[in-house]
Amino acid sequence: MPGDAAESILVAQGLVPSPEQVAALRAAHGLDAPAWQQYSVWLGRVVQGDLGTSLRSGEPVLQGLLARLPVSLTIGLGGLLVGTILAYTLGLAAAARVRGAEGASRALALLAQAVPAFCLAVVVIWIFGVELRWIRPFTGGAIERIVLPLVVVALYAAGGLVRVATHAVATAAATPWFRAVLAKGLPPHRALRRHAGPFEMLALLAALRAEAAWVIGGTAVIEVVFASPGVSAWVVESIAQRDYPVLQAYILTVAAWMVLVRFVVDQLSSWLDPRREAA
Amino acid sequence: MSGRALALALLALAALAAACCGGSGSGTIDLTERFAAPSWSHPLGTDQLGRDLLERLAEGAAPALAVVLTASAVALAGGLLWAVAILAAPGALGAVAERVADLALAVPTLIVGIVVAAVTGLSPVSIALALGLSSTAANALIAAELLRTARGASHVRAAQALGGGALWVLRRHVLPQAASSLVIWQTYHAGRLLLAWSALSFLGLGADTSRADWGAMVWEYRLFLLDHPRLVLAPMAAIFGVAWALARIGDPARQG
Repeated sequence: MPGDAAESILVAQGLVPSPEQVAALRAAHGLDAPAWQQYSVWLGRVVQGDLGTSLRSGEPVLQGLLARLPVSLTIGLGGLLVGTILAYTLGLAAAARVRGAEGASRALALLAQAVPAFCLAVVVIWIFGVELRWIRPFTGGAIERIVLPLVVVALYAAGGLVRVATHAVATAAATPWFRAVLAKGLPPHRALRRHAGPFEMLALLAALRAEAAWVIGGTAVIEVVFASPGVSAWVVESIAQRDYPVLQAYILTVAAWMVLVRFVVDQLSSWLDPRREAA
Repeated sequence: MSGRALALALLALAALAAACCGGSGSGTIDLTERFAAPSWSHPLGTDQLGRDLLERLAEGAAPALAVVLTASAVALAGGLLWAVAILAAPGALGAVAERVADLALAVPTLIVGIVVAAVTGLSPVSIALALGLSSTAANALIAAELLRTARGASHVRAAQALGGGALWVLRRHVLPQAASSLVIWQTYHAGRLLLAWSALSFLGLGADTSRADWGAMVWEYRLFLLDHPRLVLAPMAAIFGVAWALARIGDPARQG
C-alpha cells in the first residue's frame, strides 16, 4: 500500500525509520495482519462504541470526533438551513416579481457554479475581517469565528438550490389549482405563500437529499481557510499523515449522516404532502 | 458579443495558453524584480519571487483543462456504460445497479479527490480519474433516464419490430438521441469539476509545488492580499472565467 502508516508516524516524529522500527510499530497496531482480519477486528470494536485511537496523536478517535463534530455541524447544518430559507424566499420573491429577486437568484446560482468556495472565503475574510473590521475571523469568540464560514456555506447552498426553487414556484403557478385559488379571490402574494410555498418546499427537500452531503463532506476547504477546528479540516490533516482510524471513523460518520438525512427528508416530505403516506 | 461567443472565446484562450505555455517551468525567479507593477515586459506584473504572473497563469491552464477534459470523458463513458448495465442487465441485477448508483451519489466528490490525492499525490491524471469516477454515478442515473425515454420513442419501437438486435438498436437509434443531452449536462457539470480540482490544489495535498496551478496560486498569494491584491485576484479570475464559460455553454436553459 502506498503511504505506510507506521512509516509516516516515525517520519513525523523526526526519525529516519529503520525496517525493524517500522515492523515493530506495525505489529503494535496490528497493521501486519491481513486486511480482512483488520477489518473484522475494527468492526467488532465499532459495534462496542470503540473507534480505535488515532495513530498520530494516540487520542481516542471517538473523543476527537465528538469534540469536532459540533463545529462542523454548526457550520454545515446552519449554513444549509440559512441557504435553504434564502433559496425558498428568493423563489417566492422572484415569482412575485419583487425587484432584485431575480437578479439575486441568478447571481447566487452563478456563484455556486463558477466561484471556488476558497476564493469567496478569502475575499470574505478580506472584506469583513480586514477592510471593515466588523468581525475577527481568527481571534474572536466562538460566535465570531463561526459567522463567516456559516455565511459562505449558506451562499453556496442557496446557489445550488435557488434554481430548483424558482423552477418549482413557476411550475406551481402554471397549474390549474393555482389559477383556481387566484380566481377564488386570494391576493397573489398570499396565494404564492400559502399554496405555491409547500410545493416549492417539497422540491427543495428532494434537492437537499443530495446537497446535504456537503455538511460533513464538502466543508473541508472552508474549514481550512477559516482555521475552524471541525471534522473536515481534521480529516484533511489525518489523510496527509495516513491516520487510517480517523479516516474510517469519518467515513462511518458520513454514511450515518446520509442515512439520517434521507430519513428526515422522507418524514418531512410526507408531512408536507399527505398523498405520499397513502402511496 | 453574445454570452455564448464570449464563453467560447474564453475557453479558446485558455486552451491556447495551455498549448503554448503548458510545458514550461514555473517562471524564472528574479529577486530584483519582486512585486513589479504591470509593465510591457510583465503585463500582469511579478510575484514575491519576481516570477511573471501572466506566464504562471498561462501555465496553470494546462493542468486545469487536462483535468476537466479527462474527468469529463471518464464520467461520460462510465456513466453510459453503467446506464446500459442498468437497462440491459437481466432481472433484478439492473435494479441493483441502479440502487448502487443511488448510494454512490451520496459520496462527496471532494472527499474522494482528497483521499486519492493523499494516496497517489496530486497529479492531474489521478485526480482527473478520481473526479471522473465519482461523477459517474450521477451520469449513470441521468443517462438511464434518457435512455428509457429514448427507448419508448416510436422510431425505436419500429426498429425493434423490424427485427433489429437489442445492441444494434441501442447503438444506432437510442444512444444518438440520448448522447446530446448527456454531453450538454456534462459540459454544465464540468465547471464544478474545475472547482473541485482547484480546491484540491488549493489544499495542496501532495502537490508538485514547482509547477504553477490556479488553486495553488491562490493559496500562495493569499498572504499578499493586502499589499498586492492583483496576485490573488488573477488566478481567481482565471478559475471563474473558465468555470463560467463551461456553465454558460452547457446551460440547459439556454440551448437551441
